Amino acid sequence: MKSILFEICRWAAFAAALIFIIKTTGGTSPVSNANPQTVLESTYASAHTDNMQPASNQMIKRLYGIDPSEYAFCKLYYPLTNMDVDELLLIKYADGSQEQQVKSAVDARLDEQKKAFENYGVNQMELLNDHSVFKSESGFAFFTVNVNADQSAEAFAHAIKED
Amino acid sequence: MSLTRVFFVFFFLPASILLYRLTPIKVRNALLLLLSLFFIAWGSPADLILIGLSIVFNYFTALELDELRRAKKVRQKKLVLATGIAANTALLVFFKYFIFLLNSIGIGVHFAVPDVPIGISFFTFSAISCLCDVSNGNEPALKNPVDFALYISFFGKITSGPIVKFSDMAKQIRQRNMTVGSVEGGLKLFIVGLSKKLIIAGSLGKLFHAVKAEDLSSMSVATAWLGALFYSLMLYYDFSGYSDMAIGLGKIFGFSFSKNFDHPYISDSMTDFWRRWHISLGAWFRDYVYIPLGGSRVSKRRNIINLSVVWVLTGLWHGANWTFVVWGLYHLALLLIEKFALKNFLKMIPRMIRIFFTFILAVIGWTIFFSDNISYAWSYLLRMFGAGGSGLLDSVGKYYLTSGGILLMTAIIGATPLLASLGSRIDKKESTAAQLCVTAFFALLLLGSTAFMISDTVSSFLYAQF
Repeated sequence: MKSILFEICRWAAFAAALIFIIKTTGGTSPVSNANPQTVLESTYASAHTDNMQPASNQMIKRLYGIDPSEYAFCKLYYPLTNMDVDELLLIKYADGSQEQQVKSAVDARLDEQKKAFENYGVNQMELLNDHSVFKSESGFAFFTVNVNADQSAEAFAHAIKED
Repeated sequence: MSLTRVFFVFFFLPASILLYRLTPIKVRNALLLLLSLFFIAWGSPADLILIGLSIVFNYFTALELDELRRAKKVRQKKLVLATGIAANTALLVFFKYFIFLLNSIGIGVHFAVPDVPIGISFFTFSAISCLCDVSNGNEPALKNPVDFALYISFFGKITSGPIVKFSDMAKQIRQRNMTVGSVEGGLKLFIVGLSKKLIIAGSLGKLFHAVKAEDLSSMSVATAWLGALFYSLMLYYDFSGYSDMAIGLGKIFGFSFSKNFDHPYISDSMTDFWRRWHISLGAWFRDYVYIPLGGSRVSKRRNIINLSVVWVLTGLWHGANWTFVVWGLYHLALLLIEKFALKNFLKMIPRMIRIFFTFILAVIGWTIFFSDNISYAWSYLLRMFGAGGSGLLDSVGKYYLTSGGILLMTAIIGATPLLASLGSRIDKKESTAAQLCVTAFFALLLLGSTAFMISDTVSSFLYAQF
């Protein structure tokens, strides 16, 4: 009798865990066939880019600790001077397992920037806190800090839907 | 919440000790559980739900196994154990390996998988340990749900272990003592771990990441070796530092966890290395995988198969990447060579030489481990042995040698038992001067660690991601 009760309770917990996982999993979204260069151009056009400059692969490695050659596409525009925080990163994953690595790299970069400007860079902190967006969907990762971050995110969402 | 944050060290921990001391013994486990749940929820409330459901599932599974074992219903017990292990493994596989598995078989579906729950590799292994120990009759199930939940979620060990066997911890959950001595000893160990992580591992980490950001195609032999050495020592100080903190936290609250590291870089063979590195993980695989498969009391062929299973799983446990599998196979190959081909030969070589070569082999292994993919690992190894790159020593290598040389030497000396034995000798002296020295030393370590804690963006524990 006790065994039956235990059996019911454990499978009820298992079912609840399963439901929770399904609810928190964003479902499947097939990898987008959009041309990464087109996606980059759309997002770049919508961003405020006066304080950005294109980064070399070496610079991406230094700032994000990721190797661009491992991704299907990886471009970064980084701050023009040490006093700027505007940047725009677009990545197309070579495979889905890279998502966590990119998420961690972006988190670390944002933390590092906040730490650098905390307590004295009022404008920079405002941009980092209120005008930074990270999105990861359909095989693409997009991160930007710029005054038009929301518009850039919209442009990104729109661009990856186009074949 | 991280163990190396100001909030944890100066608010959460002192408040926990104080509350624990003031609470009646009967409700101390409930208090520790509440603190642990708060610790988990601080990082991510979603983790709390998932860990909570895992606790409920495993609690009832353990009770059922206990019941079936007492009733001697062997077949039913085996079925319940198998489904219990399968459910825990499924949880681990989904969060850590699902995308990797799909991509490995060429399915390019992009899932928005939720973030990996805190310490999933550690709490699922703890749960499996419980189910196996209860099923085998090594330890009866914990009837009190608070006690069981504390075993899984104790904040000292949930992030990065050690993986404490159920049969070792269950007795201590039922009864343990918090004494002035245990609090003092625990705090000392916690401070040692904190300083290992923040001062040494943090500094080595910066040097390693700088080397890794260098252009690999023009890397000199010296730079490549320095990078590999920085990483090898950083990983040791990071993880053994965390283990010291976890064991220290356990000690503060009256638990006694076995050591997880025993100066692995003075090992004189790879077999010895794995008796000293991440001891709790090795013990888990030995007790719950290797021995149930037959261990070494089988034919040579079967023994090799058993070892292969263990090492592929050990590699995969560290992450969803082929580099970890290759790293596991690399260690398997070294252990098999030692076991079956070089056993007698190694005994003839002076111990210092064996230690040196074991260290070099471990460093080569870590090179595969830290690489993002196999081709990077291969190119890095080629640079270490002089193929391609810019010669033996270039200006970049000289820079890292001068900027990191002293830290490297300090870290190497600190990885030997020299400092630990000197410290314990002074600690045992009862003279006032010796005790003052010890107090000043720990105060300095805490002060130094605090400076690093405040001034730096501390990276999370490396093993937390595994």
